[in-house]
Amino acid sequence: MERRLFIKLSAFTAAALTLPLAQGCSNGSMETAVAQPFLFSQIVDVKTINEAGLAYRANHISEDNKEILTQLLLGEHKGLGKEAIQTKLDKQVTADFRQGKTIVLKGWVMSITEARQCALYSIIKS
Amino acid sequence: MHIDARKIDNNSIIEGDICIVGSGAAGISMALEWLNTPYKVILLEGGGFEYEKQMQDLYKGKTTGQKYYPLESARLHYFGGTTGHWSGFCSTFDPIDFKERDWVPHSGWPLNREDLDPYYARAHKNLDLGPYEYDVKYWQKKDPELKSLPFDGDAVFNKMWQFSPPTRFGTKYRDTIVKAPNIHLYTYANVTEITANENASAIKEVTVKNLDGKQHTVRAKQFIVACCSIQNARLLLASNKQAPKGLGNQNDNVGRYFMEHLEIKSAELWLTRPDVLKLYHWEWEITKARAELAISEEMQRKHQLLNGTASLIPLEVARKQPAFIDIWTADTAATKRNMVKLDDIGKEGAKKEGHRAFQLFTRVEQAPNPNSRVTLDTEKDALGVPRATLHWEFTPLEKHSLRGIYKIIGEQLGITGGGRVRLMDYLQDENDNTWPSFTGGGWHHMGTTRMAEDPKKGVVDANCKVHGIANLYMAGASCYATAAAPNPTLTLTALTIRLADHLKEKVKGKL
Ligand SMILES: Cc1cc2nc3c(=O)[nH]c(=O)nc-3n(C[C@H](O)[C@H](O)[C@H](O)COP(=O)(O)OP(=O)(O)OC[C@H]3O[C@@H](n4cnc5c(N)ncnc54)[C@H](O)[C@@H]3O)c2cc1C
Repeated sequence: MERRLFIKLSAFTAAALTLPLAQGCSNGSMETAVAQPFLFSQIVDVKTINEAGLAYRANHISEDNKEILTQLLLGEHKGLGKEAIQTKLDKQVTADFRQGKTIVLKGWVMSITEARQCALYSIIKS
Repeated sequence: MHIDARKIDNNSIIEGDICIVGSGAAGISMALEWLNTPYKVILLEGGGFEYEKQMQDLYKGKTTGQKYYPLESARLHYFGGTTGHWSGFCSTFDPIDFKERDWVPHSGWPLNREDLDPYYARAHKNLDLGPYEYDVKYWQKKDPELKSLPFDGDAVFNKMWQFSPPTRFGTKYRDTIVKAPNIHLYTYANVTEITANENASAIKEVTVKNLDGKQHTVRAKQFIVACCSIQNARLLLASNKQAPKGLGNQNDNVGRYFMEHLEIKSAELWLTRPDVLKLYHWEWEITKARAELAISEEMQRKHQLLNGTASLIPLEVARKQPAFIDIWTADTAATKRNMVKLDDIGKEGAKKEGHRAFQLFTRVEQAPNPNSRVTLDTEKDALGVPRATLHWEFTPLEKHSLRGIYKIIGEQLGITGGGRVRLMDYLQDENDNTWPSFTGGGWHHMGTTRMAEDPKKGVVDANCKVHGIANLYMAGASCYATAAAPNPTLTLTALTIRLADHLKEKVKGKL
């Protein structure tokens, strides 16, 4: 039942999926920009992002913290603007896939970076 | 020429140069190779020219282990054999399929891919396939709309398939065979026993029986058994007068290493933008060639995977389709109704504007496994032959391979930003080696008289000759040492034509 609901949501509401996160960006929240796995959020709904994030946190207790995740995602680049953050993280996602730095969360084959972005999202939204 | 074995005198002695048992893809391909030659070819077919329930009943048998289709409905027992059912999906084996792979126990053929190349080209004609061309670029040149998913490098590549109309051998070749003066087709001639000389080093004759109570003896110089994999093993095992464990079974290999292709929905592919993905699309009787996603030899080695491919079906369509294993029953009429429904769902097909999500459906070889096997039951069929029992069994390597294949596809799509892949629930726990209820096979029976240079490791040699028996050959997928990903008929036809060439040299006295 839950799975069906997910497919329906994803298939018919794809265009609107990024909205809650994008709104966060326009509010000026840098944190939200970091917590938006851009390509993944074009594909799935926020519920899936949240679930993936929770799964990541459960398996990586030592990273289950907003500051630690932000540090892991941005490193020394905390001062970047929102667009630059997105560009940097998107590049990092591609590099992860190229280097095999991937993880399977709730079945999704994801880059470690986007998994951490999901994890951060689930903390911010909780 | 055609002779109905029910209508000739009981206990007739039939003699020829070449005796072929079974007239499916392998048996007919073998017979066609002898047209207009000076040799008298006896082609023995157990059934007639049409489907008959009592003939199918001879195929009944028990199955144990992994759930399988009822044996009496997984093959057809009349002239043309199971090509009366087949869907015509064809592709060639990859070079890696013939190699010994240290992570795949019992892998390795005494042949390589180049050995089969010329025969693939000839087999294409028998199966009414297009040009012997499996390079995606060739097809893209013909139709520029056949665009590939974005991949960077060749870790994942587009493996091309071609589609036979599908050729029904029973319809297409009946007249040619019946009119050939040197081919003597006997219908209702079920081989029930192969009789060897005293030390089982050569075959003397075979016994044929039919349900009308007649029995005949067939003598020839060379015997080719082409009854499909389960029957090939059954016949050897049941022919146990001179060799108590069965002919060719001195090393207990006959019937073992039964292989199927696991055909199972496995993952989902989600795109950022809708696409029709025409290169991967298939429509019954329309599509001439399409691609499936395949994993390079290098990546298979690196991740120790079996060879497998993924086909793409729009998710909305795939979600409505039941699994074959649930709808292919022993009741032919019910199965037919189920398959018509399935086709109707498929016809809803691809939308012009494309789809965002596709199901990834796997076809993967199973690792050769001595415990996956055909044995004889104590129960006998109406002609007195012990029925076959099939025990279908996997190893953990199959599931490991499925996970690996989809992780690689997911990673490669991630590199280019083409989309994301989601593994189905049953693949998510790395420690779980169980299979879901919808796990099925492709009705592809392989490996029961496997090929190996060393008689201890296989039943036939590189020429498909049974080890230790001078004039007994097996034709068909029973000779496969490994199953590869593609459906078997193209390769088994190629292998049969190769065997025919070998036999022609042999009967000319050149070997
Ligand atoms: C639903 C379905 C779909 C399929 N789709 C595909 C596909 O898309 N692509 C593909 O490559 N393959 C497909 N196959 C498999 C394909 O049909 C077989 O690989 C092929 O028919 C095997 O050829 P064969 O000659 O070895 O055996 P068969 O075609 O089964 O022929 C064996 C012949 O031997 C005869 N025989 C058996 N026992 C005796 C006996 N004791 N004495 C005398 N005669 C005997 C039988 O009556 C039959 O005529 C499919 C099969 C099914 C059931």
